[in-house]
Amino acid sequence: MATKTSAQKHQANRRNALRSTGPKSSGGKRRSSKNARMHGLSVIDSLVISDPLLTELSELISLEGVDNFWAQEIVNRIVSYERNQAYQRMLFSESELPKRTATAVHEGMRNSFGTELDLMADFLDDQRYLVGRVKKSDLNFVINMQHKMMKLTLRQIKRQEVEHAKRVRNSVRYLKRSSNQLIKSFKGLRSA
Amino acid sequence: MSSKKVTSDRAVQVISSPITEILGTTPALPGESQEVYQQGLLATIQELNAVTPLQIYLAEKIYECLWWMRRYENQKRATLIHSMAVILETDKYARGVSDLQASVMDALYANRIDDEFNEPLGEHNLTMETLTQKAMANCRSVFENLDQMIALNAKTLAGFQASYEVVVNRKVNAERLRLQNALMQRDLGAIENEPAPTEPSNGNKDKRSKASGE
Repeated sequence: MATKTSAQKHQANRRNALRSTGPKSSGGKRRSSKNARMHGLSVIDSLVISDPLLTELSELISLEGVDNFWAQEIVNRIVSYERNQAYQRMLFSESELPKRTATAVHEGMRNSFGTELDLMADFLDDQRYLVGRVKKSDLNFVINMQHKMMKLTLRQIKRQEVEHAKRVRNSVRYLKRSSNQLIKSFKGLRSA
Repeated sequence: MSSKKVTSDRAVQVISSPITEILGTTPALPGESQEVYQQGLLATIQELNAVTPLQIYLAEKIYECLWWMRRYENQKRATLIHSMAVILETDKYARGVSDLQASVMDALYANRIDDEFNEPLGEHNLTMETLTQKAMANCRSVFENLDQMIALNAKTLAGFQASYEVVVNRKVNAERLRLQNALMQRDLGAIENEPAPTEPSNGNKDKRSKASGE
């Protein structure tokens, strides 16, 4: 059963809203203004009234005896929820890939420094073929470089993992919001 | 109102609400059985007795939440098995999935604990229980995230169930109101059309009194 917010609770909500932790600086505001472009989950989900998709869906929902305005509201929320679900499915498919295995690290290293690795391997082969042996300093240089490349690749993978975790966290937040809004709009049919 | 299509020779009935058809969503991920999904969905729709597009859509969403929960449970199991296989790996510098890891994972997926499986366990001085414990400790954070997602889906499922009840009751209430209105209209019509009661004439009254012997 829907409960009405008490006056006390309403005031507390107003007070908390004043202490909002949203961006304060101009840089922060500029950054957060581009949030919608990152994943498209926080875009304003109001479809144009003349949109055929909206019309078709509204007509289907109107079969329940819902007025047009409320039907459009429900359609907007359904679209938002479905968008979030699709994003969840995409993230879930991605998360199945193991990231920090030895194979993944070597593949990442080859993707980033493939040419350099080939050049170093060719250089060592040339030395072995032409001189007959590889100088210790050259060998140390190659090993050091490969070590640095591996470190860089690991850092890159770690950054990707952090970014992925952040995306998952954000997507869960948006999913929660959209599902709550959708359920709320359905429950609103009780009084509509 | 749900639409049924036959997609292959094996006659998989694809059932979806018109709303989902317009939106064009595909809930089953690659590697998941579309057939199992459709069977479960059909059972849910039939059990809930969903008829209108919105009711079918909500039934679909209820089933999708259950599907997600099962998906997360499967992932938990897969993560645990992978972690167990990594613990039993002897070559720490092995690239990709080694033969040992593959055989351990096969045995665990099939729930087959035989001598072949006990051999690497003995090498690491582990028992099945300690191996499970160690693996669970290793992937605690993953489990935590997955459990949170399961809890979120359970909450959403409860919300959709409540919504479904609202939608169904709304229909019933609307029907009840319509019937009440019809009844009231009929009563009103009956009152309006009822002939005015006429005063009995004196002659009749005399006849009645005579008949009763007064």
